[in-house]
Amino acid sequence: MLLKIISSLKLTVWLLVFSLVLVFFGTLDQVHFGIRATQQKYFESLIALWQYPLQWPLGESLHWLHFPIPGGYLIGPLLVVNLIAAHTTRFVFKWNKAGIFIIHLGLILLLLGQLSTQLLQEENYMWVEEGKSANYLESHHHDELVIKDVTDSKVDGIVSIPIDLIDKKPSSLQHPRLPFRVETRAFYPNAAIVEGSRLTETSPEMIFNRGLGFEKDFVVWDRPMTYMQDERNVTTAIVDLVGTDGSLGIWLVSNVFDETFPAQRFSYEDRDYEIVLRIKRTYLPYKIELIDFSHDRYMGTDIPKNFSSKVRIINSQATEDRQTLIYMNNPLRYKGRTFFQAAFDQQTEKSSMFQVVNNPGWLIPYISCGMIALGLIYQFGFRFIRSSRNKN
Amino acid sequence: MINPFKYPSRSILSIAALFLIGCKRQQIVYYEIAKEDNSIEQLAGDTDLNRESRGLPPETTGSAANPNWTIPEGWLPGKTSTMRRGSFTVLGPDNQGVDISVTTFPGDVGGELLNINRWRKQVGLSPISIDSLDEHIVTKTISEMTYRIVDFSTEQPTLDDNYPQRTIVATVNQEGNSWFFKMTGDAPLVTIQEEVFMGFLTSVHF
Amino acid sequence: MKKAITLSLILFAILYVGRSLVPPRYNPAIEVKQFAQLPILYKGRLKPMDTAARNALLIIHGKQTYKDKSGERISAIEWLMDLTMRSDVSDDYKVFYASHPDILGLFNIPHEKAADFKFNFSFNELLPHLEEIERQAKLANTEAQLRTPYERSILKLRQDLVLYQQLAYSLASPEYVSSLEEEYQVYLGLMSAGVRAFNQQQAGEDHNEEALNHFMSFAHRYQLLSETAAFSIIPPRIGSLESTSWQTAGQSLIETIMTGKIDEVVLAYASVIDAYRSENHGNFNAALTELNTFIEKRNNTGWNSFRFEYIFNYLSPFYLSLTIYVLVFIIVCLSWLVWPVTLGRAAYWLLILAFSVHTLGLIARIFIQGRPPVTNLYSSAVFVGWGAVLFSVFLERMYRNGMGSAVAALLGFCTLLIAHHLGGSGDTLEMMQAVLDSNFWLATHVVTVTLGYSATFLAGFLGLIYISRGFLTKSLDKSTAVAIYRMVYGTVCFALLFSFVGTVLGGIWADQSWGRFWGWDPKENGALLIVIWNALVIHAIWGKIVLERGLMILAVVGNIITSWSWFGTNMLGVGLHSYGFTDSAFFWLTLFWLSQFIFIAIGLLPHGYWRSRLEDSRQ
Repeated sequence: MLLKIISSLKLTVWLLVFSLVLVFFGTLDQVHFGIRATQQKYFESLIALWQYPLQWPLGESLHWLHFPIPGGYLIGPLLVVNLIAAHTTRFVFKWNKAGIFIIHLGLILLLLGQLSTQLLQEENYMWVEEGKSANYLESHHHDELVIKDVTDSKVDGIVSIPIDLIDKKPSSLQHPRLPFRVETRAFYPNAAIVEGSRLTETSPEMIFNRGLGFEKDFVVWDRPMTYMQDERNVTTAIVDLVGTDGSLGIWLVSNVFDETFPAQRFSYEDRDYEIVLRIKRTYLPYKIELIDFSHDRYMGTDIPKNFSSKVRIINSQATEDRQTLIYMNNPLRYKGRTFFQAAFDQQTEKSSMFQVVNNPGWLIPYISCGMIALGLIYQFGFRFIRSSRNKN
Repeated sequence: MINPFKYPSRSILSIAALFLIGCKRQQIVYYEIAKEDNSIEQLAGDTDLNRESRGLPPETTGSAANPNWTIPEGWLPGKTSTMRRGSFTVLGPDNQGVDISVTTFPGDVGGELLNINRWRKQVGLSPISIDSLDEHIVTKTISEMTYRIVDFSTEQPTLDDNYPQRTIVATVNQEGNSWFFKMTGDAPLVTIQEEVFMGFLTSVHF
Repeated sequence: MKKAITLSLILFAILYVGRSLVPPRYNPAIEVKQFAQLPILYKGRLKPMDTAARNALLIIHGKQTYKDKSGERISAIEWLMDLTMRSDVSDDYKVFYASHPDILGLFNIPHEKAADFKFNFSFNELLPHLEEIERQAKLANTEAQLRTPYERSILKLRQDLVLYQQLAYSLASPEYVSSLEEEYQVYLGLMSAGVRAFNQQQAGEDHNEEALNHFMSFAHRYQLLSETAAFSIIPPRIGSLESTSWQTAGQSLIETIMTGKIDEVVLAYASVIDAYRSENHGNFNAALTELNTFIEKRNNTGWNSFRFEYIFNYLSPFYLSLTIYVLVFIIVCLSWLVWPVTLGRAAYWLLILAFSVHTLGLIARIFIQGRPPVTNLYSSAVFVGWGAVLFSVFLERMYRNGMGSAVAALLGFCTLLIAHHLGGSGDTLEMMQAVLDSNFWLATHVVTVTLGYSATFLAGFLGLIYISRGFLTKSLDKSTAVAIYRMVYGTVCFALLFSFVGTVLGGIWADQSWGRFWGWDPKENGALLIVIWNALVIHAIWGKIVLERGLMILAVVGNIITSWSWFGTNMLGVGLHSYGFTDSAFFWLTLFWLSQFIFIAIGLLPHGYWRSRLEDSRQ
């Protein structure tokens, strides 16, 4: 009985209807929550809960209206299961229906491929200035809390703690490389940090007692998260490092403290450390140097015509040192990563930004869509020829 | 072929297992890199810290209206650029040239030290440290506005020019926007034009 | 008799098309046509003066012609001629539009008085209020989506005024001088003394103050000219016309300081302007001819694309085909009531005529722009219509029951009307952003997706006609209904194929450009919705979940989904495809959706309510 339902065409139609509703309401929500947050809420979840937006007409009175929609991780697998069930129970292979088999097989492959992409793909970016080089990628969305061992003169030892580990509740973490515990006293997904001396109103009590926050008398206010596409949240935390004898100190760390700020360093048990909260980095075993960035506009206007970066890849391990050009629709594929020309510093026009993608499953959509297209042409071409023959 | 649907409970379990394996678990990682030393030891600039991230640079040059000014005699129209609210050029003997630009941005674009070091870099000078920042800035009141002025030159002619280069930048804040009046070019001509430049600043009224 | 009707209808239509081949009538004394074909560089694209004139007048005035005080129609190019060469005259033309009561209040103009002139104002009437307009515009909200209607109106008015001024400064300084040629000669004469004095002053030496001042006053004048001009008129001396360094009149005059000579094109323009100002027609035509020879000398291509675009402008092929589509639809509807074969055939051939004109217009656009047919919203509308008509022509040939012609005419008319309204914001042949700058993907992905829109709309409009005919008339008999059913089914299959392939091509393009095949961008989601919907319809048919009437209703839902994908997603302002929000577009979209819901509701009514007798027909 259950099998009959799982393999039924009616279920397929219902699932398609639900997917329609999901995509539509997900798109509507993108206005307020941005693409990434909506992706997680709607397409990377089992159930999505849609809420009547405040910004719509009668928003105030209708804001209580919620309704649940099956999410991507529910509909996708169900569709795959439904397809497989239908084929194993109901379908009989006939040559004139071969197209449909190919289409469905391609579809299953596509869905599985998209799932693997969602789970495995890494998308980062990299800024390089003309005349300089960069050897790490930065994440669009993730931050990390890093404690660096800077004692050695040649090598820095990086302990990277993903932000997700310290953001939910006050947490306590340990790592064999660190002789102290890392305890998070407070976490702000987005914050405003201002010098205390500048303030006239009363401000919340700040408990940090070392480092930048303490020296500059900073005050931290919690702020609602931003979902706008070109804004980044000021991820901030107050971290207490606790050794065997008690606390070494409490620091204020934030991803807004970039390299124009003094490093927050300290010593413990004859070793020097640095603590920093920053955009999550992925270091590469090679360097990319920007030799020249150029940007053309259509004459007499500001509309960009093309932009391109001449870069040099310096890989000491592979003794590689070569130049190449990266521009729109012409990325650099190197060592499993693809570098796309994404943006540039519009003020100075001397810095270039690359979108760097690592997607092992990149081939799957090509194969699966090719299959589906072939199946469609086969199936409909067949029908078209047959029906026009009938007409005559 | 085994029909998975004959054994529904087993199938569900295996699918669930696949899912769990697929989901990445967050972990603390340790790795080593060659030594980096990329922070200045001192603080830079103002510290009102809600800055845009480096993810995408700010796109606007501000929508503030241009002030009024009187273009001095001898100043010809200079290079056009979307960033420049005003652009002039002065030509001198022996192919000397001087470029004057007026630009504006909301906020302070990263702070004084960063700006000064950027301008220094444009003529090939090394950056200065926060300690010497105050020595380099002169504050002047011109036409009831407070300008912070920096003035520096290279000792020798640079690679591209036959003369040493000199840059004078006067910065003023107006309604949350920073306005930069910058004159840069061959040092002898800049010296001659210095007074004219000051006169130009006197004529600037918002 | 019946043949005669058919032939005469077709002849009438051909004459109508032929009539538009006649160039517009201008002031016969001067060579307006030659002036209209002068090449300029405006907004990054080389075009004839005529295009700039039409676009500018359309933006400011809402039409491509202007009716003056005596009721005479002035063409856009003649308006531009007055604006650039005799601005004292054009400043009295009431071309600016402002109807918002708060703006009228700002000018202290009573509503009734403004209404007399249809809320049109001349530059001179607005002149005393310029400062206030500027002030009000600055106060407006910087975020476009949060502006009030008043703010939008005042900003538009200001923008129009700025455009007007820039155009006025594009050929020469609008201040009236009796002889521009003389002015330029004086400038040239002063130059050596002036430059010498200038250099002396720079070096701190003694100099001739008077010579310097005199010279600098010219230099400042031309500097203002170069900063304010809307378009460039001086082609580069070296290289071809397409190369990058066109100059405005002012820039060229400033460059004269270094070269010591005035560009011959500048001087030729000066003669033209002088002749126009002094109303000396003979001189004007002669000067214009001379100007053309100078410009021709710099043209290495050997082909005058400006003349081609000028002809394209006055032919307005899309407007032509739009009107013929209306005629086709009327005749087809008549053919369902009386003389089906004759009128049906007449309608079919008229449709072919309209489609040919439509196609020629599309080809002309491709030729002028050098790009595949769909590059912006305007051209997507034109192409959706074209694709839909193409499919429908095939349907008509197969079924011969007038349905194909009807739906072709309907869709052709609607899409061209939409295009016409979209064209009011400027140059429809505008340059493309760097990201989209790839002819291959424009020709494959964009064209296929647009054809997917065409097919889905086609199915939807067939559904609309089915419901209308069934509910309102008795003409929906069994064979017609079955025929329509087959048509819709076939069209949905095509729609699925094209929309799927198009969406996938978009994914591949994205993967090649940004490294990700699918990013859940609103426009991508919109396309996905169409694919899912078409797949859903097919499965619903196969599962016998819907029968004949149900299919029609589903097809009409397809209209809603496709229009959401085409226009709705643009209004959200999110993601990589955002173009911005326009109030009126949202209003019309909502109205369209409402109309479709009404049709769906009618479709759901039980049989008894329909005038045509129908039973559920099974395949």
